[in-house]
Amino acid sequence: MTEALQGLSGGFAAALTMTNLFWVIFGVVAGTTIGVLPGLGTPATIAILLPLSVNLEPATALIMMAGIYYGSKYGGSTTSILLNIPGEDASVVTAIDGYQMAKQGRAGPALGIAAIGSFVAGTVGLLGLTFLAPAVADLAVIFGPPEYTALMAVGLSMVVLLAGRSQIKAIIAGLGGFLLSTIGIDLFSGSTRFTMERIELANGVEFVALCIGLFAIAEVMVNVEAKTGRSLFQVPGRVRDLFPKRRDLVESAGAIGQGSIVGFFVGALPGAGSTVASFVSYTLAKRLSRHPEKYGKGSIAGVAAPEAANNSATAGSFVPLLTLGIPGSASTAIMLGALFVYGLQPGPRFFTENPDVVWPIIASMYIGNVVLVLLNLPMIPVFASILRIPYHILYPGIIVISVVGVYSLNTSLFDVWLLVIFGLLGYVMRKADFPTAPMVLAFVLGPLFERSLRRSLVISQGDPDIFVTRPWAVAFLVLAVLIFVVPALLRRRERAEPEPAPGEPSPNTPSQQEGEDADATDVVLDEKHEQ
Amino acid sequence: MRWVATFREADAVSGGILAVFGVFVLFQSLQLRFYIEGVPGPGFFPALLGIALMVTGVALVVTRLRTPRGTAEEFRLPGRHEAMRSLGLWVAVMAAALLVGSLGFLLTMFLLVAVILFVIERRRGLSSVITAIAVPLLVWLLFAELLQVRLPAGPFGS
Repeated sequence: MTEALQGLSGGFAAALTMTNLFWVIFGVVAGTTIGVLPGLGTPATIAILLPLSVNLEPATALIMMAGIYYGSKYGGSTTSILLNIPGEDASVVTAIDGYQMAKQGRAGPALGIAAIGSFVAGTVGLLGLTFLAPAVADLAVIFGPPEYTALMAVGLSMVVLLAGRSQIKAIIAGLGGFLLSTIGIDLFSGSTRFTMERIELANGVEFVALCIGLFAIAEVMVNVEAKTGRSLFQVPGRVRDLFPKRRDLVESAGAIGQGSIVGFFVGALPGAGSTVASFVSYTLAKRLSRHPEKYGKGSIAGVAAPEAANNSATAGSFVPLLTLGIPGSASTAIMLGALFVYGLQPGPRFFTENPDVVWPIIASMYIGNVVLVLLNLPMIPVFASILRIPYHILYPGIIVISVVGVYSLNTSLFDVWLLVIFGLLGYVMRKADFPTAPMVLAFVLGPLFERSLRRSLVISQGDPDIFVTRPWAVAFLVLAVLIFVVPALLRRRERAEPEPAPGEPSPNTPSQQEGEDADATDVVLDEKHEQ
Repeated sequence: MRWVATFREADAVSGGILAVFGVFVLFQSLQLRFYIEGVPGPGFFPALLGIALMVTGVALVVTRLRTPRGTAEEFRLPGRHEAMRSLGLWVAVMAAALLVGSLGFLLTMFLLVAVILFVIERRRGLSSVITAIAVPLLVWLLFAELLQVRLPAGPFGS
């Protein structure tokens, strides 16, 4: 504890020099810009700037790269909330409630809570990184493939928590996402799966093309179809209505707290990453909420939870990078590469042997977090005013940016075709009332689950007992089964209850008032309406 | 004239289609090895997913058909005019995706925005012309000039 405080104070002294401060600000501004724009990935940006960093001191270079990394998580929420275009992988979940809030004229509070939640959770995550790094690193080492398999099973079982009116449809959407994730070269055997002899599919389906297609393109198609003559968004004229109110903060406090903690631990697990953290936090917040039915319809806690988690996860992801030398994501892998370029070898002794590198990086992240919230909050009225643009002018812009964003990922026209195909898939899913969020969740978790399951069985030489002889794995598997089974049992019990008296709404009677709104909403979260 | 039914029938149709798709996936995955030396091979998960799709598809059909008639929410296919707008937009975006490689980014996106505004939105004023020129140009300046992303060049070099 004292050691960490001493290290941190030394780190602040180094990070607050003019040079390092400049690179912190450069990093977070560049990161926010990259995050706001769809497509352009964080790893690509860090990689592009790698040659520039060679001329900098190791700590300064890493300060800049870290700034880009967590800055992009901040910026990613903006287009998710305003336009339903996830600007960054981890912002997919933010779009679910954030965009609904924007449609209800609450884009400002959504952006505000995203910034505040990100700041609080980012800081909590950094406190975790500062004081808990060695302990968490030990935990990450205990986690072998069987524990990962069971943990991913917990994640996959969460598709039922993302269900709309029908759990079976959520499961089907999840299966579809999992199936899409199997496309490409199987890394275990080297054989190709479902690539239709297209070389572009060898590396699998591009995640961003899937998300932007399912979310942004499908949303535009539904909106364009329902031409009503009225403007799609309302933006309050008064500036104070553009910021979260005390009630919003109270409503989101629990979600931010939970997201901060969940995000840090999920982020600290190599390979899990901030997208998984945001999904876990969102579903947990919904499950723990007294008003789960509000989720998916513009709940401010539904924005706070994933935003908090994805920023806390960013700090968490530095734990395995710095203490074990294991990168959990493409961005941290490039940072690890940069450390190697400087002849530095992160590992268990990295904190004690290289305090002059580690602590300035961590201290700079505290500073970067403050810079980000100061940059982002005043920008809210500017960002929100985008929604004042008439929709018939706004949506061609959304489409052009989506196309360019997806193209710019791999400079691949094939990815643009995928975007268009997934746009149609998203539109059909909305019309047929299939939720899209479980598809995205399973697409992210499916490969992690498959890889760790096969790895476990390689270790045990095909013996499935490996999953029931390790306590953590057993605990997670039981949790996964409970998550999957309990909602179904609860519904069965609900059905077994006596019919409501005339005049009272029946649990089995579909809601009439949701009408068009329900069609436009991905995640309609009223499980009582299971038909 | 719109085709109107309830989600009871619509879900039963979706379930049927998904079950057939599950069979297709299963047959495709049988071409991959299910097990390699006692450990799941590349076909293991796709085959299980195919079976799961079949089962859940059939379950969707069965549960919906067991629901009494008249209790499910109304399901409407879009009318001709609505479909012209949403699917017309999709066709326009698809055409742009196919043409952008040969016509280049700026020209294709100009044509796309112009088709959206003039044909789908039927807005034929000066503001539409300005939008059709300004939107692609701004996006091009942002991505190609500022962020140095290489966009498809086309015959006119941009």
